Amino acid sequence: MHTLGSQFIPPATHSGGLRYHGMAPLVSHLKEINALEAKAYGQKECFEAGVNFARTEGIVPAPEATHAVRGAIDAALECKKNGESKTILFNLCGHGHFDMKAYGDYFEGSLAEDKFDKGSMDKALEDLPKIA
Amino acid sequence: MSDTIKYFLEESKMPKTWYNIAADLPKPMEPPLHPGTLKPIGPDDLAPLFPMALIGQEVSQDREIEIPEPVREIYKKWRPSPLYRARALEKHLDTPAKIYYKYEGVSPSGSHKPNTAVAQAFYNKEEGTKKITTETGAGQWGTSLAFACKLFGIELDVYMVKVSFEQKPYRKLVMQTYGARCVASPSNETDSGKAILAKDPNNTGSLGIAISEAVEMAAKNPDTKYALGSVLNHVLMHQTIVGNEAILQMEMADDYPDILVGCTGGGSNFSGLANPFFRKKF
Repeated sequence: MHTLGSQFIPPATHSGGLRYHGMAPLVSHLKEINALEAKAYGQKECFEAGVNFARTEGIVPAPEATHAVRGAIDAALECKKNGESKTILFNLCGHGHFDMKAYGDYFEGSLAEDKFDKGSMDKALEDLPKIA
Repeated sequence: MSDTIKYFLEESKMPKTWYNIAADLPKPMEPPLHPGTLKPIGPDDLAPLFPMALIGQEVSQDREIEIPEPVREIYKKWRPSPLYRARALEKHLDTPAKIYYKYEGVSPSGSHKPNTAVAQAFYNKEEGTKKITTETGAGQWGTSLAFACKLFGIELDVYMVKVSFEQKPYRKLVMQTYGARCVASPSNETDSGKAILAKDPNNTGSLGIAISEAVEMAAKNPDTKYALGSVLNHVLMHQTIVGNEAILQMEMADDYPDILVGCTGGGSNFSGLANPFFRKKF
C-alpha cells in the first residue's frame, strides 16, 4: 500500500475525497507493475478544467472529478499537438452541486495552491512501521 | 457519421457480475499485514468489523462474482449510467481526439459511491447486522451509505469530520433525510474521540480520527459492523459495474479507449472504470 502514514495531515484542499493519503493496495500494486501512470495536479488547474467542462458539456463536476477532467483534457491537447486521433475515456464520478463553495473560492482567487513539501513527507514516513 | 451524444444501455443489458481483477493480475498482491503483529491478516481479524461475505470477496480469486438480484434491482434506479461523448468539449479544445465519459453523478447521492454502499448494506442485512458505523469526509460516502442502509432497514451512524460537518450542512441534512444519524467527529461518544477532545477541545477532526471512532463502535458492539467507502479490494470490485457497462457502451459507439483517466483518493472510482479494461490487457 502506498501511504504517507497515519501521522501525516493532508493539506485542506477542496477535494475531500482525494485528501486520503493511503492509496488502495490494488491501485498501488497496479502502479508497481507499471500497468498505470500516476499524475499529480494542483487544485487551480483542476477547477479551471472543471469550469471549462461545465461551460461546454453542462455538468458541474465534483472537485474530485475535476482532476479526471484535467487529465482527459491534457491527453486531448497532447493528441492535438501530435495530430493523433486517440480515444479517451474518463470517469466523471460525481457532480459538484454540494461543493459550490469551492468553485466560489476559485472564482474569487482565494483558492490556495499547496506545494509538495518533501520535509513533511520524510517526517511522516519516519513513523511507518518497518516491514521486510 | 453518427452524432450520438449519449449511449444508453437498456436495464435488461446491465451486467450481472462484478469483475475481480485478482484472478488476472500478472503478479499477485502481497497479503495485508496486521498493524499490531505485522503478520498477514486473517478472516478472524476482520470478522468483528465486516460480514463474512465481504471478507470472502476481499480475498477471492474468482474472476466474476454475481451481483445479487436485490442489489441489481436497486442499481436499476439509476443504472446503467449513461456514457457520453464530449463533442462540445472536443470542439472547444479543437482536438482530433475523441473524448468519452462515464457519468456516475446520476445516482441518488450524485456519485459512484452507492455502487458499493448498496452491496455492503445487502450483505450486512443477510448476516443480521442491525447497525453500521462509518466515517465521511466531505459527505459523499456517508450520504450514499445512508441511502443504502435505509433501503435495507439498517441503522447508520456516520462520524463526519467536524470541519466538514460545520462547512457542509447540506450533506449532513441529506443523510438525515435518508434517516441516518450524523455525528461531528471527534465526538464524546467514543473513547478515541474523548481522548482527542481532552487534549484539544477545539480539534476540527480528520478522516483518520473519524475512522477510529466508527471502528471502535463496531468493534465494541456485536450487532454493529463497520463499512468503508474505498481502498479495500471488495469495495473496488463493487465499482466494476461502471467499467463492465462502459465496455458494452463503447461497443455501441463502435470505438475502444486508447487512454483511460480517473481521479484517485482511495482508488475506487478509478478501479471501477479501469479494472474491466485491464482484463483485456493482461
